[in-house]
Formats: sequence, structure tokens, C-alpha cells
Amino acid sequence: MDIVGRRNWYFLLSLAIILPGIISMAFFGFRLGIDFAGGDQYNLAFTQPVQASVVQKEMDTFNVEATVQQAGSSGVLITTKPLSSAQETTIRADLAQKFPLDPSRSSYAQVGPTIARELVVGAGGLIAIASILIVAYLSIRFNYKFAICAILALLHDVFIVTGIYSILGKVFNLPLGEINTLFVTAVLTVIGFSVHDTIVIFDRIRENLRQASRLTFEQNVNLSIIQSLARSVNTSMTVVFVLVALFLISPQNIKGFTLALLIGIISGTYSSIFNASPLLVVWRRLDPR
Amino acid sequence: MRVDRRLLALIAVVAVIALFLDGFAYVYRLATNQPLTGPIRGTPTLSIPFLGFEQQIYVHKGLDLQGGTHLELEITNVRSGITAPAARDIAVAIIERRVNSSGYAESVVRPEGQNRIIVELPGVNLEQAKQILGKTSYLTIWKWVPGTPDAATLQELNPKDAQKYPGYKPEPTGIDGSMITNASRSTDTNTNLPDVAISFNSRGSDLFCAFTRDRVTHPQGSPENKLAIFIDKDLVEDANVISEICGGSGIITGGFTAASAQAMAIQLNSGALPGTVTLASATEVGATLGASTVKLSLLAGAFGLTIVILFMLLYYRLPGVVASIALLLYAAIVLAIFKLFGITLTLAGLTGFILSVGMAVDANVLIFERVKEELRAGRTLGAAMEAGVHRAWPAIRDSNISTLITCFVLYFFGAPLIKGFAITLAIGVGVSMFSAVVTTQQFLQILAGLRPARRLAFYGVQAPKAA
Repeated sequence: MDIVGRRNWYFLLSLAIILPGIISMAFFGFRLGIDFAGGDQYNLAFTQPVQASVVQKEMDTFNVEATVQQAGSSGVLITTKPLSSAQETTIRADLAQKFPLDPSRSSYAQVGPTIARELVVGAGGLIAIASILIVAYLSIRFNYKFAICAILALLHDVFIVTGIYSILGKVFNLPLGEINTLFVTAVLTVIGFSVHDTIVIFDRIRENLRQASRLTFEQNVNLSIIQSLARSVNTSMTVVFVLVALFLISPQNIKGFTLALLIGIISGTYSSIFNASPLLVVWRRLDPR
Repeated sequence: MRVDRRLLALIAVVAVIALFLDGFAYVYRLATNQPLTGPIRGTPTLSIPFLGFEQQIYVHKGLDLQGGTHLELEITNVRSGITAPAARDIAVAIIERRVNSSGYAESVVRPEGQNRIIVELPGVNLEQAKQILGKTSYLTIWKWVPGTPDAATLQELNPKDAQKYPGYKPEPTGIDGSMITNASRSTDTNTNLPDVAISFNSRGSDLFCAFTRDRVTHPQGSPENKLAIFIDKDLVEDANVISEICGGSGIITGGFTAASAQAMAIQLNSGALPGTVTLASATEVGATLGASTVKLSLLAGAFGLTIVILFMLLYYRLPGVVASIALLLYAAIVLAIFKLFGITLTLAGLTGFILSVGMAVDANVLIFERVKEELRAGRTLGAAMEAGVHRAWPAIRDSNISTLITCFVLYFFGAPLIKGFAITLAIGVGVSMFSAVVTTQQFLQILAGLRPARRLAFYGVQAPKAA
């Protein structure tokens, strides 16, 4: 199997998925959850089926920029602009009176504008700091070329997940594609997993390079990928199984979270096999020292 | 490398402790004569008196898992004369009092950043939470005079506190919290001991001057020498008056430690919040919703573990058995750590845990793949296992350390939700390294020493053809 030789095809496949995502992010941005945009969100459960359109009509009377989405047959998700304490109490009392509300299965969240701004800055900063420290560690253990290739693979995964979510949330207008704090957690998890995966293959390359052999660098990298393929696939498969199960049974409010993890883990496995290591070869060709 | 008896003993000790902590609720039920099923009374607490060890052992569930209200409050327009962090600490103390006096168990009030306060109220909905926080506490200063408290006083104050000194009763001085403009911890310039500086408005100043002038005439230590501070119904301070305090500001001295002086200052400030407190964010989760999330996570966890074990058994055969035992032990240790250190589990935290299970499996997979390679190359079982662990180690080390770096960044710079994720992932990664290089490795060495375990087919490898 020659993975390194066909590297351009694999790079192309990655680009084909990333580019639409980047275009979508640049032109449409994200569908922001209240964590980032600020606002109030009611996740209401009813004891009988209720249509979202009926609740929407009721919410429109309050004039609070409410959007109501169906969440299961007897549940709705209401998002509004930031409400005052008095408004919130009035709306809640009104809904409880007009619909068969089940408070013990409902949830509510409110995020003020200052907190939202901090979270946006914080999330970007966390990814940057973590990346820099990982580059530093990998530069010590391997060398800076390995470190930068690992980070490129990591950024690939971040762009795939965020790009797909921009498309889901803005182009298809699905609530699933909402960006919130849980989504940030998912991206951070993906980062951890992606680097983890890449390092395992890099370790193999490091080991094979130390042994005297007649193989070229390119052949060596390809051999290392093949040697660790069973492990890469096996480990990812077990995690993917768990995530698919989680996705299927998870309630509406965390489905987006499990889906982001699922996409990210698959992307992470792909990028460590088909991008990170072949990139080493490309770099070596450009700069054969 | 042979079987190391000390390491085996270590594994055994860790396993026994972990299982003991995991099943501690049952030990506690037996010890307190409770039935083994049904709701538990009290909080399971482990105390070992001669070590001075006392710790509650149970899984602390986050609000998203048990239902309740999480509030983030912000203090603005801080009263002049105090810094934002000082105002934050005063507000924390006041809100803590209000929450505690409302009698809600396991509530948390803690400072966050420069001017924020986090309030967590399990089992409370947002409306109730707003009522609790909106309640103001009322500070009053009393004096002790000979006599017995009448019914009206016993109604107004906590009877136990009102009858603290037999033969004396508390009498109002007319001074209350609204007259105190500020109180802060300070240090006596002569003795270098901590004391409390207090300032009054003009009316408070006059009343306090007359009150202290009268009190110092009584001998030190007598109840009549004391200044009793009540907040709502409770006696919170009962200090000696050493000299009269006039002129609008004064010092309260007398046997304070730095901490108790700080506490006294906070109590004196309790009349009013030191600024405007606004709601920055709120989350309310219904109890049943939380419970169903827990059920879901447990289901996913059990399902995931089953798949992983099945896969390991089918793919790696005999070593798969070793890995499964190591994994179960791993899960038991992590759960025990969560219980022992009171780590609060949230949905994000559970995700971190599930991810760390994936990484624990990975360490085993890495080792077994290497062992297979070595076996194919014709090494003996013992040598192959030793080489397998040895060669897999750099990959396990480097990948886990980079994950720990990420956890570190998340924990120190992340929002509270992300912190929970970082802690559980870091614990999981740490334990998984122990599990892979100590548990799996030792179990493999035991296998290598057993004659019936030596058939290569048990390892999913065909015997190498004679070269």
C-alpha cells in the first residue's frame, strides 16, 4: 500500500471538505448559541405533544425576538434576546398557564453579554495556547518539523469541524449546527485526540529512522504508517462506536456536541494517517537537510 | 523483566482500596444499620481518627446531572473605599449566609475572577433562587443586661443564642447594620495583632459612643462588658469592649486571629451588599432531565465498555482478557478518585472520562500490536512481551503528555464548564498510564510464565515458519 505516493489525492480530499467550510465561515459565520451571543433559552418539555408554531405565535406577543424550534414531539426550544428578570418571570408564568409544561424535565439558561464576549475570546485563546505548548513539547521530543506538521494536522481537524458546523448552522439552518460552550469542549477533545493519533505514527517514524536501513525517507514514512495502521484503525473504531451510540440516544440539547466529537475523531484519524506524515515528506523534499 | 512482586502487591493494594471506595455507600449502610436499597440517610463519610482523616465519599453530581440552578453574579458600582475583590468577598459571605439560612443542602457560593460570584443551588428552581438572593439580612447590635429574656425577645432572636449567659438577657442598643459605613480588617500598630476597624455614620457614631462608654465600666470577661452582634436571628460575634469608641470610627480588638478578624469585618458589613449585584448568567435544569442525562451517560458508558471488551477479546484473544481486566480496574480506580477527592461530575466531565477510556484502550492496543510484531519476528513469549511494552512506551508517554498539556491549559484558563472536562480527562490519562505500563505489563508477564498460555494462537499470531 502506497499512502505517501498518493499524498496529493489525500490533500485534495481534505481541501474539498475544508474549502466549502472556510467559504461558509467567511460569508455566513456561525449560528451562535446563547453562550456566545447572549440571550435566554428555554428548553421546555410538555406532558402532551405541542406544535412549535403554536408556541411561536404565543412568544411573538412578547416581542422579544423569540425563535421556537421543535425538539421531539412534546418539546420545544425557545431562544430570545436577553430578557430582564421581570420579563423572564412573566413569560414563564404565561407559558406554564397556556401549555402542559413539565418543569422537572425542562431547563433554562440565560447568558449576559459580558460573559458571552469573554467566552468567545477565551475559546480562541485556549486553542492557541494549547497548540503553542504542544509544538514546544514535540520540538523537544522530535524536532520542530514534526511539531509543525502535527499542528497542521490539528488545524485541519479544527477547520473541518468548525467548517461543517458553519454549513450545518447557517446554510442548512439546523439547530444541530449551533456553536456553544459544549461545542468548544468537543473541539478541544478533538485537538487532544488528533495530536495523540499523530504522535503514535511519528513515534514509529522516529524509531524506524534510528535503525539503519536502505529505505529512503519517503519509504520509511510510508512503512511507519502501514505498521501503525492496525492500531490507528482499532483505536478510532472503538471510540467511534461509543460516539455513534451516544449520538443516537442523546437528547436534542447535546446531539450537536456528540456529532462534533464524531466528525472530529474521524477527521483526526484521517489527518494523522493521510496528512501529517505525508506533509513531513513534502517538507523534506522542499528542504532536504 | 520478570514478574515483580512489589508491583503486583501495589496493584492489589490499589485495587482493594479502589473497590472499597467504589462500594463505600454499601459499607456505610451496613455500618449505620440501613437497608442496602432505597434512599440513603446521611452522607457516607469515612473517618480514620488516628490519622486525622475524615472525608465524605460519594459522587458529586454537577447541576446539569442532578437538577438545580447555577447563577453567575456580577458586582458593579462598588462602594467607594473598597477594592473590587474585597467587595466580592463581602458579597460572597452575605450571599452564603442568605443561602444557608434558607436551608438548602450542598449549595455552593464561591468567588470567580475579579468581580464575579458563582452560586449553585441543587434542587432549586430559578424563581426560588431569585427569592433567596433577594433576601436581605439584618444586622443588629445588642448588649447583655441582668434578667431573663421575655417571650418577645425569644421570638425575635434564636432562643439558644438569647439564653447564652444564664441570668442575662440581650437588650437592643438601637444600632443596626445601616449605620455602619464600612468595616475592615486591620492591624494594631503597637502589638502587631489583627483587629477590626469600623466606621459609622453620624447617628451610629453617637449611639456606639454612648454604648461603648457604658460597657467599659463593667469588668473584662463579664457578659455586661460584651458587644453582641446578631445577624437576622443568630449571634455571630460576642466581643469584649476594651475602650470607648467615639468620633465615627473605632477599632475592635481582642483575641482575633487574622481569619477571625476578617470574618468579623465581613459580618459587620453584612447589612448591605457592597455594590450592585446583577445576574450575568443563569442556568436552570429540571431534576428529571438531569436524572435522564445520568441514565444516558451510564448507558453509553456501559455500552462503550462492552464493545471495547468484546473487540479486545475477539481481536487480541488472550491479551484481550488481560486488557479487559486492566480496563475494569482502570474504571474502578478513576471512580474511586472522583469519590475520594469530591470531583464534581458534569456532562462535560463525563465526556472527558469516556475519552480517557479510549486513551486507556489505546495504550493496550499499542502494546499488543508491538507484542504481535515481536512474536511474528520469532521471539519467545516473555521476550516479545518485554520488548512490546518497552517499544510502545515512547508513543504512550508522548501522546499522553501532550494530552496532559491540553488539560493543563484548559484547567488554568478555561471557563468553569471546561475546567470540569479538563480535570476528569487529566485524571483518566494519568490513571491510564499506570494501567498500561504497570497493570497490563505485569499481567502479561504472569501470562508468559504460565505453560498453557504459551500457544501463539492465543495471541492471534501464526507460528513463524522456520527460517
